[in-house]
Amino acid sequence: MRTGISGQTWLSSSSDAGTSEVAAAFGRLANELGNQDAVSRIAPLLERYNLGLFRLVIAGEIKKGKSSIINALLGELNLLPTSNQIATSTVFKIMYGERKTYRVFFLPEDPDRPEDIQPPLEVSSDQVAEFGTEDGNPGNAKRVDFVGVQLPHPLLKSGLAIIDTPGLGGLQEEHAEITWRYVPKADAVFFVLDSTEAPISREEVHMLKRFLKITPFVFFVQTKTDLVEEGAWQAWKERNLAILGSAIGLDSRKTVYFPVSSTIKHRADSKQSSRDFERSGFAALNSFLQGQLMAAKRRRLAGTLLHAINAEAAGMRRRLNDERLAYSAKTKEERDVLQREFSEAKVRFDSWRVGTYNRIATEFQHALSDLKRMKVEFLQDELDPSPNGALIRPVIDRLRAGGTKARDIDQQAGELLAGLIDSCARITLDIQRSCDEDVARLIAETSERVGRSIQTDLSDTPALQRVLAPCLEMRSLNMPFSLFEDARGALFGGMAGFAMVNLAVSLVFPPLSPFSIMGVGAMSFGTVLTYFHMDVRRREEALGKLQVALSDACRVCQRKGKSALDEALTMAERKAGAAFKEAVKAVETELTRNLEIVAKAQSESKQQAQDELLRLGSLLSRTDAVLRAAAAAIGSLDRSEIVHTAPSATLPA
Amino acid sequence: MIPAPIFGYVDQKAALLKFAEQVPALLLRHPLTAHLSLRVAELDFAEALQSRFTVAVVGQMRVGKSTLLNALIGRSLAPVGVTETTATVNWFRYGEGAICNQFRAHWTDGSTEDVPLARVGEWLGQADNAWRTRALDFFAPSDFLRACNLVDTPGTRSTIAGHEEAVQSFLAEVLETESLRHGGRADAVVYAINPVARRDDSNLLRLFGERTRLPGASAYNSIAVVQKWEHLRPDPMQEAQRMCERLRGQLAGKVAAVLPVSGLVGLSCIELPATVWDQIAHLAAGTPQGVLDELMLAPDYFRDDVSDAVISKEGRTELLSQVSWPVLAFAVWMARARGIASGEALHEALWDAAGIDRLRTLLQERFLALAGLIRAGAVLSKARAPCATALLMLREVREGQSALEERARASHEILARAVAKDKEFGPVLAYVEGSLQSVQAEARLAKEVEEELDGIVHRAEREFRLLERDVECLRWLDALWHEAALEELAPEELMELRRLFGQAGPEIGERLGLAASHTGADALEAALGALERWSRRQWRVRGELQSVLEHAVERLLPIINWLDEKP
Repeated sequence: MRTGISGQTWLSSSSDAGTSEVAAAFGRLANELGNQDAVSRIAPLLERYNLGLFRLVIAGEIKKGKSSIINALLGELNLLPTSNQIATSTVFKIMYGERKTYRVFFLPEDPDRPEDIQPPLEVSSDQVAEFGTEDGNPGNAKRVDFVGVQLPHPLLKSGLAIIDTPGLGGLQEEHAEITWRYVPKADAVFFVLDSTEAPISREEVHMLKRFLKITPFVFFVQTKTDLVEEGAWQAWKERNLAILGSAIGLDSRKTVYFPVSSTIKHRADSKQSSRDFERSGFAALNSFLQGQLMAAKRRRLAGTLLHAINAEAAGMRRRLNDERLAYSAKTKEERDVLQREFSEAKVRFDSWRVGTYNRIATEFQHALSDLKRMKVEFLQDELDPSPNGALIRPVIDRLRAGGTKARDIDQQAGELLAGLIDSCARITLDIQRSCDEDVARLIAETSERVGRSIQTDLSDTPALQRVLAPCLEMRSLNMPFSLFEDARGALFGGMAGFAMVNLAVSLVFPPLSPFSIMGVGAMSFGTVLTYFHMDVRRREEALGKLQVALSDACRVCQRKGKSALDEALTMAERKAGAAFKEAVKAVETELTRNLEIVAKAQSESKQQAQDELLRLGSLLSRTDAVLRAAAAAIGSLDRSEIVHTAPSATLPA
Repeated sequence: MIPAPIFGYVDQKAALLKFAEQVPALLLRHPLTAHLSLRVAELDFAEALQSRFTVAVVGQMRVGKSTLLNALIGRSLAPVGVTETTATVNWFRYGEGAICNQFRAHWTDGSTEDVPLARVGEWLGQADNAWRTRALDFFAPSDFLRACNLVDTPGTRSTIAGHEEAVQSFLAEVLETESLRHGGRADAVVYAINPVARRDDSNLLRLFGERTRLPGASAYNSIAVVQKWEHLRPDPMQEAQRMCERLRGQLAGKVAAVLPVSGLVGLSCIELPATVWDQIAHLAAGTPQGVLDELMLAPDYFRDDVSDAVISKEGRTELLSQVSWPVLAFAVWMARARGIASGEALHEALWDAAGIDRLRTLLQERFLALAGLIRAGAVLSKARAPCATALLMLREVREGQSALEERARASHEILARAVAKDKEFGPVLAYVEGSLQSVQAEARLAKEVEEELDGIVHRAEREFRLLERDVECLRWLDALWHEAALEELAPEELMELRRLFGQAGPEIGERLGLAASHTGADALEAALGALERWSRRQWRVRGELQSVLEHAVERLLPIINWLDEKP
């Protein structure tokens, strides 16, 4: 296996400024303190940082060289099937694996019974074309969901996962749904153009606009620069940038655009020539991918981890400090004072908790369940399956007004069905988005209210202040992020996602849409006659059949969307409620503990007290060391602007 | 090999020309019909057969339409650029002299303006002028343009507003108008496509078929031409053929033929000096494999400083400035793959690969020939009236004369007896004899002219009737297909009928759907089988379909007779 040419360095973890070391030191400390809770809270973040998957989606029209780019990037000439004749017809997911393998994953026969599927089938590289190309598997008769490819390659090992999509715009229509399934979860989308067929077309502009509505992380690659003179492909690059500017509003100075040649890259690999590597354009692309995109994601994950460690370590420090305070009180009087303080604090807190705080918490729950009800109802209304609804009526009207022949209606049925499912997916996604925003805002507002209430109601109790403020800072909880990642996964979990034998591959990119055309479309339209009769009556028949099929599909989408959204929001409710409860409980525990410590300190001898003080002192300084290291690591993470395409982008979690 | 075609257009054309030549002369022979001669002579058959048709080139942007057009014409006249260039509908007509250095702009307000060629740049790409232009006319003294006018169109799928609309309105309006003006018969449309057909290609063809399913274009006069295959490897020509094969399946029923063509290579063959091909052949033959591979990697590699290349870096840079990279790469491949060492042989091989001659031939012999014959058929029907009149008159004359002849003979007999009795009646007898001869000559003449005229007209009509009926049936089947009303015909049967009526070509093999490898015996067998099937089927259907099947039988009988006669 090639590791690439000289001058090409793979991402190394040392660029993350010692995050791993900080995490290790923290782990040791927590274990010594017997604080398993802290360890278990940090563990998932640490895992995500270590696994650190970067999801790259390759999209674009047919025969632009998408599969070739991936082969070239990984230095494997025949990894994915490419040829003049065959076209990729299914999704390929490429990840790290010890051994080069191809596994075919199938769709279930019945979309309502997702557990009932053929298990994944391992195939040889010769057999891949039989499942993954239009020639080998026409019309996806073999019901392939995707092909999972594993390759022992350092780039993949450093966290890259690539999705190769079937091209859009060919004579087969079904390939379009990938847009909705994979683009939203992508960390970056490479939109592929070429240097031989034509500059950007209307359809590609249309496609890009859709992509950019979903994610700002869209970058451009122009392939086949070896097939034409430099003047020509440069001119096309200029032209494409101009079109992107005028049609989509992208600033050409900020648009990331790589002209490349996959052929020359392969040559660079076999000749180990850095000149060829430069000329292939992959040097720039690689450097951007690893040096900026992947590194940025890594830094983001590192940042999240370090901040969490920081918060936990700060908590630990505070508790240690309180303990030391208890032990350093020399006289009984001082300890009595401390005891009184802590008791008072506890009492004050309890009354605040059952009073003001309880009120706020209840209001929060109500607001959340109102939101849930509203959103689910809204979804139900939007995905209206009735013939006169906004989704279906215009389609039928248009066909009728245009005098479309019955035969054409039949021919276009698949397309129209796909379009409807498309719309449903888009609407659901939008609602999901707005849910995310609303819930996040609600949580933030509530946290703020609690915080203010603490300020006003409990500010006169210093002991309380010290304990309360950090505990109730909801932002330090890892809930908003991981919850919605999970929710998205559940909402759009899809059929193949869950009952998998090899979970790792499928969960890397849980398919976004449960509305697979293969399932819904086939069953509704399967028995339609091939030829219709000629006159108006027959057109009406055809329209009738079409409308029934569309309604059915819409109903399925509605049902699934509703139940998934409901589930996700219910889970949000539960988790949010639990999170608040936990925070409160943590405070209580600490207050109780403080009292216990004072009592313990009372009962011990002077000598024991001395030893304890020393022990606490050393633990404190270790904690301080961890805090310093974390702060240093956070500080050294480059805070530069993350590269993205649209000027008004919101960053993903 | 199926025996030579007699059902081709050549014979029909010959029959028509014979008609045009002989009938006026024939009519002149008899004083009564002489005035009709002029009426027939006025109908310009030759013009109908020879008049110019319109061949439009449509397709996606940057697929090479303008380059193809230039190759057909034989010179670089249609503007070609690096990005989307053609912005207007451009007509190319035959012209000589000064007019060739200008072009005529037809503004949307109806006025026209003659502009020097040098200023054509003001009408390209996103130029404002394009918006206000209905069409541009260019002229060249090209032989191909004697046969037809060519029309270049802006490409589809472009982001430049107005380009797509220009093509659509061209298809809907202009082609329709042109067609109607010429008697409403078919012209040809060349649809240029990339090696991989897009959904848009299929859509455009469908749209095109629907919109203009009137006297105008149809599946039987559209051709798909595949370009931009020169860079495919390992064997571009084989890949191109394979693509055409696939496309034939995918575009079935929408185009009459699919063939691979390279306007780029063709035009280069026409325009570049022989030294270019010499050099390329020399380079390919003399440079070691590995070095050549290195050079051909990309244009900048071609200009590298390497030893072992038989042409120096400067020489290669110069070469690259003369010939475009795709052509150069293809030529080098060709030279190596075919082991060609001489520039001349290379030039010949490239010209052949470009397929321009094949396309021209296809257009002229099939589409334009058919179009011409259809028009001629229309003209022929105009000749029927005077010919019918002439025949009537001649028959009347003949009948009148034969009555006269009767009486003259009777008189002669009486007089002969009278002369025998009385020598004085001699001169009277001589007179009557003379009259009799004159009448007989008159009758003979009328009879001759009548028979000959009848013969010629009958033959011409018979030839054309079959052809016209072919076209009618094709149109009817087309309509059925579009309406999806084919309850009684399976798709394969539809294809078979279309072929029989000449959609794939007029030769026997093409009508019967047989390959070149089949023999006359195969053809006879196939024809007999088809005859049996259709004649039986004929009685089980009704209405228009029945008469279509009748015509199928009618078509097959002479084919069978002819095949039967040949050994």
